[in-house]
Parts: sequence; structure tokens; C-alpha cells
Amino acid sequence: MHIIAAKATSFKEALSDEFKTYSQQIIQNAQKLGEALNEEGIRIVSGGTDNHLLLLDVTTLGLTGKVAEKVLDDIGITTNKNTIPFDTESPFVTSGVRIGTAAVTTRGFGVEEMKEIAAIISLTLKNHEDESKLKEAADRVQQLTNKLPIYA
Amino acid sequence: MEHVKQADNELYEAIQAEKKRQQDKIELIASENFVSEAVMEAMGSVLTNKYAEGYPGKRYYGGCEHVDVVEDLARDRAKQLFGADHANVQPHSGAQANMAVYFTVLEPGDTVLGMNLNHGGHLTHGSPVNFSGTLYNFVDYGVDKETEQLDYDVVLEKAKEVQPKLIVAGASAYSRIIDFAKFREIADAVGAYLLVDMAHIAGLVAAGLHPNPVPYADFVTTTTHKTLRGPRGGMIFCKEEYAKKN
Repeated sequence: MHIIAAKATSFKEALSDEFKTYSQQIIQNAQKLGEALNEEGIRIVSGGTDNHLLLLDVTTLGLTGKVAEKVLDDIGITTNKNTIPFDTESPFVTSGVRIGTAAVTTRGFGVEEMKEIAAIISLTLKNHEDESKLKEAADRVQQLTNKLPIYA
Repeated sequence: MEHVKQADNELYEAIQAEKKRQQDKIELIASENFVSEAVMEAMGSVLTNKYAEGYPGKRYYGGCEHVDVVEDLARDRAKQLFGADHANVQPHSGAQANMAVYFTVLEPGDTVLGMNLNHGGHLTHGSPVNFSGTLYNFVDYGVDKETEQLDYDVVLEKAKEVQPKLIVAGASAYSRIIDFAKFREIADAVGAYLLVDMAHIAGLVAAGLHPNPVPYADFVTTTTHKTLRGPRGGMIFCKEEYAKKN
């Protein structure tokens, strides 16, 4: 019943104008993130997004989803590996990484932060064995998260 | 967290470490979000002490007069958000919500048409490693190889070929608009029920930024914690005629 109560609270929030603004920002952020990743040469499955989600094909960078998830996690970006349509890798390896913008939008990130996140993802995936580049990526993540704290 | 800290410091440390992880990392998992402190307070309330099997006004336990108010608030707001006839806010997860719909309309062995997991579907939409794939005869549809988007003509052909009792629309890794009106036409063409699992996009639907499946589907399931930004849980919407069946 405590969870049903929390559902009631969240539905009241979802009926507000603020929620509509947040939802619009989710989509704007996802589209900007996709556009910026695409400019970095990272292929987006289906070419883009209409919602909060992007599926990245990391095989064009010579990586698997499993490796990409791990290196991104190590520098402070949490994602999950995901199969892509007609994937030749197993679900435990995969050719893709799935990302979404709901949580970062709640946190207050906007399109400027999306451009920076795309740059950090690109830097990390293209230099996944270069310690100094990975250190730079981790530092840039820290700058973003320090700028907009949650539950502070 | 003062009480947890005093009663169980080991657990307190783990919770603090997770809080720091959420603060220090950039969360891009598409199914996650950060709920408000009001939502967390409601979750941490005395309501956890109450048994309330049944539905508001029709309980198996006494003392439910206040939790009835709570559940009615949740149901009424959910119906208002999505324009639904009937809402059940009791499922603990999206998987459980889907299972409830399967148990309502299917018999073991019945044929169901769902989206391929590799193409963006979900484990509970007929994956062989999930109960749904072992209990029912799931047949899958996928995306077009060139566009990597749904081709509704191909879905219709597949539906005609396999004559499913239920069609499942909705995805966990699909970044495009899903045309629920098209799915309704396909379901009608073969006399199938239509279930839409809108878990990922529920928040966007609530905000009017993605077409709403509720007018088209016999059943709509969702989780409450993705874009919708509520507590971890599930929910089912259906037409009034099905409300008494489960």
C-alpha cells in the first residue's frame, strides 16, 4: 500500500504543467544527444529518435556492447548493452548500447549538457585503451555531475 | 536516514554509497529515473504495515478505510492521466502486469504475436527464457532491415499467417513512434486481442507527446518508474468490459 501511495503522489506530479515541460525536455535532449553522437560518427539505430531512447550501434567503432558498457561505466556513465536488430552477437555480448534521457532530464540537464555527454561518450569509446584520455573523460563527467547535484 | 544509521550501520553505509553513485555518475539507463522526495516519503510511510487484499470498498481485511482513500486517489489519477475506463494500480512490476493480462485472456499453448527481443521487444513478450515464451506459443515480428523501423504491412501479414489470439505491441529498445491505431487494425483483421505495453514511454504518453494506446488497446500495461517517474511498480488499464474478468 505504501507503493500505491507513492504511485498516487507521482501521478499527481505527472498531471502538472512542470511534468509536461520535463517530458518535452526529455525528447529534445534525446534528439540533441543523438544528433551529436551521429556527428561523432556513432551510428544510431533507425537514424534517430522520437522518444527518450537511443540505440547505439558500436560495431562501427570496432567494439561490442559489452565492452562499451564497461568502459563507459568506468568513466562514470551508466548505460546497458543491448542487442540491435539482426544482431550477430549473443545477448550477453551484443553490438549495441541503449541509452535514455529521462533521468538526466530530471536532474536538470539540457541540450548543452547533451552535447558534452556526446563528446565524452565519443572520447571514451574511441580511446578505450588510452588511460590519459579516459582520465580526461572521467574528469569531464565529474564536472557535469558536480554542476547539477541530485537529492542535495 | 537517522534511524537506519542507528539500527543498521552496515546497511546505512551501502545506501549512502548508492546515493553517492547516483550523484557522481551520469545515469543514461533508458528505464531509470530519479523520483521526487515526496514519492520517497510516501514509500517510506506507515502504509507498509497494512494488508489490503481485494479492492477499495471490497476488502478481505478490516481497517482499510484510509488505504481505500489512497488506492482510489491512485486509480482516479491514473485514469485521468491516460483517459482510461479502468485502472488496476496493484501490480508490483510490469512483468506481473503482463502476466495478469495473459492469464485473463489466454490458455496455455495459445498463439501470441509479440515483438522480437533482439529488435526491441521485451523478455515478457515471448522470449524463450521467460515464462511467457514457455507457457504460450509466441511468434515474433521485427523491424525492417533497411529502415530499422516497424513495417505494419509485414506485421499484418504475419498476423494473418499465424492467427494469434493476442497481439502485443510495445518495446523496451525502440526509439520511434509506435502507431497503435495500425496495431488495432491488424488485431481486428485477425480477431485478436491487443495488449500494449507502454512501460518505456508512459511519461511521454501522459504528457501528450506520444500517441496514447488506451483508446485502441483492449489492455494497456506499464511500469510506473521509467519516464513516468513514479515508484518501482506496475499498472494495468483495460476497457470496463474486461475489468471483472481477472
